Amino acid sequence: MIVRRAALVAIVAVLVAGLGIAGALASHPAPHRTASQAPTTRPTGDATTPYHPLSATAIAALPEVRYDAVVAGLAASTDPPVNATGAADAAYSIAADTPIYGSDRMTPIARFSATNFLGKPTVVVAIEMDGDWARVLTPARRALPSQSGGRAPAQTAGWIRTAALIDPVVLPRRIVVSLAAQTLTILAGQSVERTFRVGVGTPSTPTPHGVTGYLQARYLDPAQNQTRHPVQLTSLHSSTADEPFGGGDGGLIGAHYERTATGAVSHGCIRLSTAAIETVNSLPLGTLISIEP
Amino acid sequence: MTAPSHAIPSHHRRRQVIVTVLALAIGGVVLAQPIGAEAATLGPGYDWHGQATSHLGGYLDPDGSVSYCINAGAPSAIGRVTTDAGIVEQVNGLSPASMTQLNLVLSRHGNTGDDNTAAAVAMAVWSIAGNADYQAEGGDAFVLGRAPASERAAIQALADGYRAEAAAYVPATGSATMALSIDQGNHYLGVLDVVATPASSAGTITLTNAVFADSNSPTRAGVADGAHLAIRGTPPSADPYRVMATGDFGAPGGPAANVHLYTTSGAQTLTASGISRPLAFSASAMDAADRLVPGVTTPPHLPVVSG
Repeated sequence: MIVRRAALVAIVAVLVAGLGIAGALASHPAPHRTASQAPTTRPTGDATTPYHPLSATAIAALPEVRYDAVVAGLAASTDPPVNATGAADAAYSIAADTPIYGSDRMTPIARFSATNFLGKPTVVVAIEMDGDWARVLTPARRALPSQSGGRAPAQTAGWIRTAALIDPVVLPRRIVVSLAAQTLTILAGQSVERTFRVGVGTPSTPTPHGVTGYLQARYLDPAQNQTRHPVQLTSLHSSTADEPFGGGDGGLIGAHYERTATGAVSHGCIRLSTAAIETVNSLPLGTLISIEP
Repeated sequence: MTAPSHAIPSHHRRRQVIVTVLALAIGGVVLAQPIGAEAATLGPGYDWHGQATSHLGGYLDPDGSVSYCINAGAPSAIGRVTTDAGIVEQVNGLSPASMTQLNLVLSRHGNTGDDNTAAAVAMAVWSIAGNADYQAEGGDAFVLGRAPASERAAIQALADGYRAEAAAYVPATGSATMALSIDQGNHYLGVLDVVATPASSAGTITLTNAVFADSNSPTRAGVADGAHLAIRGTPPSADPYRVMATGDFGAPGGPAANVHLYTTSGAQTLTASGISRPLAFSASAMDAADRLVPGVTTPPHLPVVSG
């Protein structure tokens, strides 16, 4: 009789314990993750991730971010937005061809050549510093407007290793163009130094706005009737047309001298008077140029 | 038997002789006249009591120009045969400087229809071309007596002004400088700058080892002061080279040391405005440093902005 009772008690205890374990398991379901989910709050290539430099061969195989290039992996410069107060306080050179990474800071997508199309040191402008990484503006496109529903970013950006940046040149000023007022203003910090009337794009060939680029190069070119005041080539492109003016150089937005330098008259460029072009020409390459609506 | 006579009958021969003599006489008279000889007539100015032989002013030449006497006190050329002697560089033993002053007054003021102006020019011409004789004849005070009293002060002022203008005249000179610059970003490119005086100068430029960028030609005419011309190098080989520019310039210049001369035997010698001598000068320039030839055979493409 006692043995049968003890057996019953044991069986009940086991059952109760089993129910308790099952209950405990039911309140903490197993984690579920889909293969399509990706981290969005923090790049995986951060300070804790070891960096593996690319070989020279690997770098050379990457597409160069030139004024006439389209590199799909580049980010639009408004993602995240450029610091409107002018975060770039210096422009840099690079000692050698340098890989550019995507937003994940792990995937190399392009490269800067150490020298540009003029054979001069490539100007590199960093708009954000994050430890060993710098987010930089690039002169290439990421897409053509014709292949992007008629609209493509006018400015692109990517990430490079901060150690690649050499020979800083201070950028004490920045340029702000107002399309509505048709003016170009030179700012030192928050102080307005000079303002000029300028010509901007027509409604059918608009100057891109809501974007910040930089002065990447300057040159005289008799073929463009620019023999006295150098063309100021920016890193910006037309956002609405592959080639607003024909040709194949990539819808380049420049600031250049023109006799008629007022009104909505250009194919996207900023047209400047003699006084304005001489002032802009005196600014260091790398100076930011922001275009407001 | 005598040969048939083809001889001209004697009365016919006499007629032939007479006609021939008359023809020769007439032709000889014609040939004896100086080329372009006609009588000068009175031009603008004043005459003492209407006497043409006491004229203060200019004379009208057959070609329409107004000439002026350079021999104060010599008999008037009116009514006599005047010969056009053309452009001469020397009258009355004058120096080249005085000849230039004489031409200056005649060129700027002599061809006039205004009586006061002509009278003043005559006075200035006498004082430049032969002041000793002019003063011996009484100078300004004497000749002004031929003009109405009401006009004498004005004529004197004009004459004094013309003399001062002539004395102060400095013959124009021209000069030019050129400079070449190299685009350090692209040695194919550069600019030629031209500075020339006077501002009316114009020149023809010839480039060596380059062409003008907009025309693709090594020469350009009509280059003026202040020209800023884009050039493009055309290297003769793969070696470093330099561009050179030579320019030949010209400008209108000013009165030269000459006058137009009209002579009258036994009477006044008349002079009218001579010719101007244009300025001619040259300049050259060369790159201050070598242009390097890159590894490509054509100039590198520069980005074309949207405009």
